[in-house]
Amino acid sequence: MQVEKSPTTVQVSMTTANPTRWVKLYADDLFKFAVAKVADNGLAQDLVQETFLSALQALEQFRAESSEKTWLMAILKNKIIDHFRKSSKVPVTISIEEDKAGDSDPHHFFFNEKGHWRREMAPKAWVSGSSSQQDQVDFFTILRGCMNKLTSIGRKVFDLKYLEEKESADICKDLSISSSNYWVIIHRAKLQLRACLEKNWFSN
Amino acid sequence: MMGTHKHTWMPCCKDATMLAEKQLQHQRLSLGQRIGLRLHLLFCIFCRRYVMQSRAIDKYLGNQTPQTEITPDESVKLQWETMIAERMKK
Ligand SMILES: [Zn+2]
Repeated sequence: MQVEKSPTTVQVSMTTANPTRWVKLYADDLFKFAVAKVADNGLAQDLVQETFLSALQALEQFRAESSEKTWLMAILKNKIIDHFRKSSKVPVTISIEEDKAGDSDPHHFFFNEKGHWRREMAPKAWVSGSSSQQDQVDFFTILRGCMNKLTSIGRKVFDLKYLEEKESADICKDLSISSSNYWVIIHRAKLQLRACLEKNWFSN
Repeated sequence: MMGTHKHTWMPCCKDATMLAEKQLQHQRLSLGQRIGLRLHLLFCIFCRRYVMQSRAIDKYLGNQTPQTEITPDESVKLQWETMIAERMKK
């Protein structure tokens, strides 16, 4: 009768990924995260499935020091970002001037020289749309379309902040920007996003 | 009404919306900034709307479905498990 080499099994489970338990352990959390970000169950399912597939292909890149869950979550976040990038053909419109204002001084576009709202850019009361499932999906499509109209740095900061859920200090470090610069970027991106949503969704 | 700032220390709309943005993201404001922002919002309907809408946008961006607990179908999970098992054999 042979003695089982039991110590190795312990070691194995601690230092390598174990795909056979992924679904049981992480599928719910991955799926929940994906649904929260893309607002579409079917799409979320596809993204989770792709995450598992990519993870399987990259098994040897898995580092024991990060947890399996963190690792899978990072892959999923990349999938979501990729998806948003690709699905940028949503027909949202922003005014030509705003497009041209681009990287120069968007604040000038929203506020006059005294720092007051320009009449045509001042926030209007939003007409609240209906909350049917279909409308919800449409709304998030518009939201994503508007996100894709942001400047690349604004987009980057928003992805890190809202998708990766990073702290502002870490975002500044990642992108090597100062904290005051960070606030200018956030402020500008929010102004643009707000205006885009108002124009494409919250008005008649 | 916009355009009539009775006090020079009251922030303009551009500054007020920036302050509001910082506050929304849990950044601490100085007492002066907080008072300035409060006062400005008291007088300015546009910035009040901005604050409300900006908060709503944050909510949409952070969590796009206000749904209750949602999990993938058991059948889907089974499908995934099979898929992974298949690939592991190779
Ligand atoms: Zn104002």
